Amino acid sequence: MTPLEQVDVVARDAERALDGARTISDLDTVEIEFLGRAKGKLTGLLRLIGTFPANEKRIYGQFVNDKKAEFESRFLAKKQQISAIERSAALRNDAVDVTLPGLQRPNGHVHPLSAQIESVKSALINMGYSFFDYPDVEHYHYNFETLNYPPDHPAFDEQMSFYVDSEHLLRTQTTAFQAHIMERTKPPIRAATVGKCYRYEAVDATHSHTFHQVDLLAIDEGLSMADLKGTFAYFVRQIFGDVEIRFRPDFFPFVEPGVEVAVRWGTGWLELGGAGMVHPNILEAQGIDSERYSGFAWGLGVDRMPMAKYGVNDIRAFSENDIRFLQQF
Amino acid sequence: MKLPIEWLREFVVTDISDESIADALTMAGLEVEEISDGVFHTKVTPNRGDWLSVAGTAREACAALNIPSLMPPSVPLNDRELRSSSVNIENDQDCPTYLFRRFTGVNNTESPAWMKARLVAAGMRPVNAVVDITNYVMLEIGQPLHAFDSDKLTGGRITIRRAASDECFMALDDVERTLSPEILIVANEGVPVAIAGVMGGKDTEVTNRSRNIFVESAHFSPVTVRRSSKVLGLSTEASYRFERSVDPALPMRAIQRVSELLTECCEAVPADYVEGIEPKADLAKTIIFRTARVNEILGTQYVDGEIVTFLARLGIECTNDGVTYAAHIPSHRPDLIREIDIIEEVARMAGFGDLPERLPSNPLPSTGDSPDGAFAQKLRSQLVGQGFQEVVSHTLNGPSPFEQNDLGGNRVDIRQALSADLSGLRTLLIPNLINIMGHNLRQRTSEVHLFEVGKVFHKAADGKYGERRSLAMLTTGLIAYKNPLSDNAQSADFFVAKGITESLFSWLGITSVSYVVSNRNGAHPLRCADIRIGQTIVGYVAEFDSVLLHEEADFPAKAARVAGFELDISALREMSRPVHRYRGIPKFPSITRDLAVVVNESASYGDINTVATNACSGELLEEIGLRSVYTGDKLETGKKSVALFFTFRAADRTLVESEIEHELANVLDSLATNLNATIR
Repeated sequence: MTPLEQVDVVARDAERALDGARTISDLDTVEIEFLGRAKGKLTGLLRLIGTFPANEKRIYGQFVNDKKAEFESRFLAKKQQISAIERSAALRNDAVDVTLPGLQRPNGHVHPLSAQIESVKSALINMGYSFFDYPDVEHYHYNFETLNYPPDHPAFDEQMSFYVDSEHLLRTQTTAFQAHIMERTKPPIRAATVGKCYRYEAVDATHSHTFHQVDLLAIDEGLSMADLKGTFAYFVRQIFGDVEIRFRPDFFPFVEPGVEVAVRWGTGWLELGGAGMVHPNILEAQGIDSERYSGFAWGLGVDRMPMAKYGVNDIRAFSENDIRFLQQF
Repeated sequence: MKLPIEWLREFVVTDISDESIADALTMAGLEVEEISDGVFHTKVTPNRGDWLSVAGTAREACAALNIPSLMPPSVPLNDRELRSSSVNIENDQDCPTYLFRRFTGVNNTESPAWMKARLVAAGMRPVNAVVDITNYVMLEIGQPLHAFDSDKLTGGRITIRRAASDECFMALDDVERTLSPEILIVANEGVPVAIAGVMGGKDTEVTNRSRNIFVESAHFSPVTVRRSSKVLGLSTEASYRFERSVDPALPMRAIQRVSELLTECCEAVPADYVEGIEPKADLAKTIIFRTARVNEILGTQYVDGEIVTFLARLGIECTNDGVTYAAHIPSHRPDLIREIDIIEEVARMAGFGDLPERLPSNPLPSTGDSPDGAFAQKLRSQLVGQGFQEVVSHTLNGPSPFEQNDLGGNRVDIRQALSADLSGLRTLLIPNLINIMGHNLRQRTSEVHLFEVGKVFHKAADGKYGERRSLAMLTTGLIAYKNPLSDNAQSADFFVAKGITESLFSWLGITSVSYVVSNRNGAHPLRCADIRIGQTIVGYVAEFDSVLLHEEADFPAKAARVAGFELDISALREMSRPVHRYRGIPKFPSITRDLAVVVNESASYGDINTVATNACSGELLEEIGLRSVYTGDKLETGKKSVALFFTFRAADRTLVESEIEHELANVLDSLATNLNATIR
């Protein structure tokens, strides 16, 4: 056999071995046997080149390299083919029914009232109001007296309020914060508070003994009813979007002029609460010059906002805390 | 107030619809809440007693509609002679005006059908002609009247005075009452015959047989009537009106009107004169206002004439001295006191909707949310992120077997509580969460993971009221849905609850937390720990006693484990440390080694951890933790195996094996000495 015929034999052996390989591991064996750097049969042929006369070296070398290259390319093709088969088999073994339920954790939800309070807060903070907290158990001085209630006003009645002793009651309105603010801050003032208020009411679908209120107080030079209207409109746009607004005269001892504010909701008006210009009696009682400074204030019911937005027709749903209700928000 | 519309229209002469009149009233401040069966249901604000009559409402409607106002017909008395000798008013602060007129030959049968129809539509029950007529006049013009049977009013020397403290009185409602000096009465020959402005007496009642009557038309002070009404717990149509102020000029008008009606309907013969006392003082009042101030407060640019025109609609005439205006206030408007009140009247007539609107030109920067509010929101988002449902419960509640005296403090009780479940303020949140969980379990929701952030209240020993913010969590059932391909599913228990507190503390940067065995009301006695930061107890974590939950909170008998915690977050906020300074990521590798020791079963993991931690060099030990706890038949009885892991790292070099071995040998030594531990 000529050296070139010998090369052919080795190359044919290699082809046969390659044809017989079925797995990546078979291929690894073939690779080591024929293409291994140290003992590979095809690579080994090249090392014989030194035994040939100079004029044959080139021909022999060329021949071996061609055969090797040809084999390598076939080897690679086969390897790719088997890899693809094995990979797809592995993936097939890992198949799942993607319509099976996922591994869920229970979802947490913020209570709709908390969510509403947060959006009210961020709307007012955006508008330059700072939030402060004041006690739920309040002295009647702050709940009534400093708010310009005349003595013997019906609101003092035990029937209307939860008293805890002869001087303290559960605040009936967060408006009780006004004098606290004015005692510690001189104008200009842009303050707000939000929290629970309490009144003796028979509980039904639209009334509760506890409700949430957000109060705002602005005192500055040159504030007018027009500023109140603009501020309220800007606030309402953030909470309800583009809805019609109604200002209607109403009476609260602490504001003059006093209005009830409402927004168009469905076919009716959603009454949000009371507002108005801070009564000069209140400013004067706090030592604020009512000729130089004026102010506006509002106290809005928070509970009605999500009731309107989500069509909740029973206020008790918020305190019953049925998970099937809460998880809808 | 219920106002028959046809009656109102006697004084509001216009073609416009009932709805438009109602709308005009509503937008002027007198809300018409409902229109039904030809009746307006109005909601009268406490400052406007003048709206408690048909004529007063009509006057407002005409002003709002800008049409001329008609007043009820009344013929001026030509015999207006006042005889005051028979009336004695002790204090004219209580009663500035007391008038009466006697009528004879009264035929007191039924009132005419038209009058009864109006009374019924206005919500009053017809009684007899005389009583109906006095009620009719009250509804029509707003002056409460009272008729006495003058044959029962022997003597007739009338005194208006405070009651003596032992006086007794039988009112028309057949209730015998003991009076007190806070109550103003009308006395005849020294004997009480009426509680002034509230109710007349049984002894002088007008009946169908009464032939001679005595009609009282007086002005009692709002504060006095209110006090009488409050002390006696007795509220009437008359007292309701007096409390909200009645036009002080009305008594004589009312006498005229009642005279007309009694003559017309009962063939009554009025006495030639009216008796009693009327104040000499002029009721007229003026308020000075400035156009510039009106415009400053309303943000408007009215000229003088516009303001004067608005006020004229309300019967307020203005005079000008060249600089300011004087508004002359009619007697039916005692609520108008100072300039700002005039400004409101201008706004009402202009319509608030038509006033300009703008944003304040000088905003201030906000300091944002309150610190407590911001902290609560931070905790809220953390717990929601961990799958817990927020609830909002009532601060008013009843006592609960799940309260803790030392954590919550003394309850703040409501005086004169009407029901047990509104008897006081919550001292902790857990009792409410337990009730809410019970409700949900009874609704067949089996996984319930709740939390609340809110105020809790207590009364301190010195009588002061305290409010703190609290965070509580309560969990039962699976905490993750079952993996469809495996059987593993974790249910809520003590360690789930404890784990939430641990991750909260780590998230808040709060260290030196310890969990100390405790026995809390309502808790499983052996699955309960107080949570301490330093020496302060900030709350507790527990599984709750299933028997108590069933018996006291109506939990289903076979409920899963219920675990939870409550933390004083007012305290946590103080301790929580925001990141002050960035710490470099370690440059050298750490080495972790496990060590399993066998100890007595009574040794707590907490003790093992403490001993092991103290045995290591502080600068090398980065983390120590639990791998597993094993008890079983491979160990001697009464023993357990605890496997710990230790992570060591030096800041300035890669540690070598011998250093680690040295550390672990120290740990083992110390565990052996202190806890009798052996290596496993």
